[in-house]
Amino acid sequence: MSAEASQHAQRQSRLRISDVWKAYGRRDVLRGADLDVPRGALIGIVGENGTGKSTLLRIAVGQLAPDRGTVVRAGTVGYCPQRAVLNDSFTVAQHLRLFQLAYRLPDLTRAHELMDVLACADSGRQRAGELSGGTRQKLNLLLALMHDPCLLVLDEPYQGFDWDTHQRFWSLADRLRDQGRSIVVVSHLLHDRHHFDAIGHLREGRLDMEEPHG
Amino acid sequence: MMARRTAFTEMLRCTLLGHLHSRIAVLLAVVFIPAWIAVARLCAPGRPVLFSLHSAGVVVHARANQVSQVVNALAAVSLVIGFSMFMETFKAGEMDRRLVLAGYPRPQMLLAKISAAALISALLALYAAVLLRSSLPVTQLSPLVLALFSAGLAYGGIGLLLGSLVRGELEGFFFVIMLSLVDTGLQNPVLNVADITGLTVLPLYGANQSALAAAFTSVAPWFYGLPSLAWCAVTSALALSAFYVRTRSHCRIAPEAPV
Repeated sequence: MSAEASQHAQRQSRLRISDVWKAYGRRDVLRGADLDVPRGALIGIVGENGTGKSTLLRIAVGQLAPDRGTVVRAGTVGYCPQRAVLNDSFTVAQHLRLFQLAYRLPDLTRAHELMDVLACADSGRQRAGELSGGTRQKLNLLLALMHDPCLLVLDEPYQGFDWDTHQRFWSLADRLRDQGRSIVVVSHLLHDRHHFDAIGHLREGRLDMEEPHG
Repeated sequence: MMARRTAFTEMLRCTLLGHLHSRIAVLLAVVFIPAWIAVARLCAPGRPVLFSLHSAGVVVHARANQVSQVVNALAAVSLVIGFSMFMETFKAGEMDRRLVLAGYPRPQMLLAKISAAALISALLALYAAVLLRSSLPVTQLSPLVLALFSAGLAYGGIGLLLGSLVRGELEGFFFVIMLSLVDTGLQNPVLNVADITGLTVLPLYGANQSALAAAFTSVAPWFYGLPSLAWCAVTSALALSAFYVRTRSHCRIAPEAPV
């Protein structure tokens, strides 16, 4: 690959959000937000409660329609919603099996590897409704990662994690970024900021990009 | 093709197991159906009633408490199926939308849920028909099972539609209970309100006519089960449309090459 082609590949956008507006009733939440997530980037989204972080992420994955503006994505996406979205009647194994079919995966090798990485106890036969808050959140995250997507959109994925699992999550995120995956994470924690390549601060419906140490 | 079939069978398996693990649904099925039949047997008067049955084209003589038992069995089966399908669809809604966004085929998902409703309806119809036979002299058992089955299917479709549309559990419960009360109440010959126009459009009209004919006459009006099946087909199609609208992706997917 030539140097120019290599640079071009580095610049590829996995997600481009342009001039996105969204209102709930008469309340404007997003007012012309822009975000460009290149290949191999770990981007943090921060902002006060109710500033529209989750709305922005739901629009990014196509779950919510913007009132105005465009969202273009390239490649596969893994979305981890803020609140664990699981079926309480299904076991952990049934969740994995259904998402295996949805992602059309030949086997669950990667899912089991991730369970080890996230220190998920062997809870295959347990129903989601019987899991602890932290284990539910691990399963929630696992379902977003198990198909090794090009773009990861994670809405406060470590809520309820203990410190050790929290550290394991960041090691995993760093490794995925190094492998060329693009990751967008909503975060509230100040001590997580050094993990990010760039931070988007959501203020008055717009994203102001800044350097993590700036 | 194989993958789609597996998507169907796996969702059907998980949905059925989910229903089985719902304690309230199992309790309703096991306890409420015999209890509601027993209430009619014990509380309705034993006086004879005379009513005209359009499906059989005859005038039927029967005891009021026997007629009420058949009507209550229909109400109980339709309520249990309506509740179960509503609860399952409502609770699984967010997870189903997440699965679809991940690539799960929607028709197979919905078909699996309808098939689960059909299997549970068949089981409960058999159970209710056996209970009725042990309590009153049922003339024809098979048409009675089919009538109860079509009642379950009609309310299974309604539960599926409500679970896809309403925002709160209370609205869904209220709608299922009120519809079932109006449906069975207006069509109960013992209450003598059977001549109101427009009854034919109610979800249980066909099932009610078939069940009463099967229980008290030797006529088997098979095609009277069709309106309830039509209710199931229409509500399921509407649920599928609502599901399509709610799970469509709102962003443009570019090829893996540069955006």
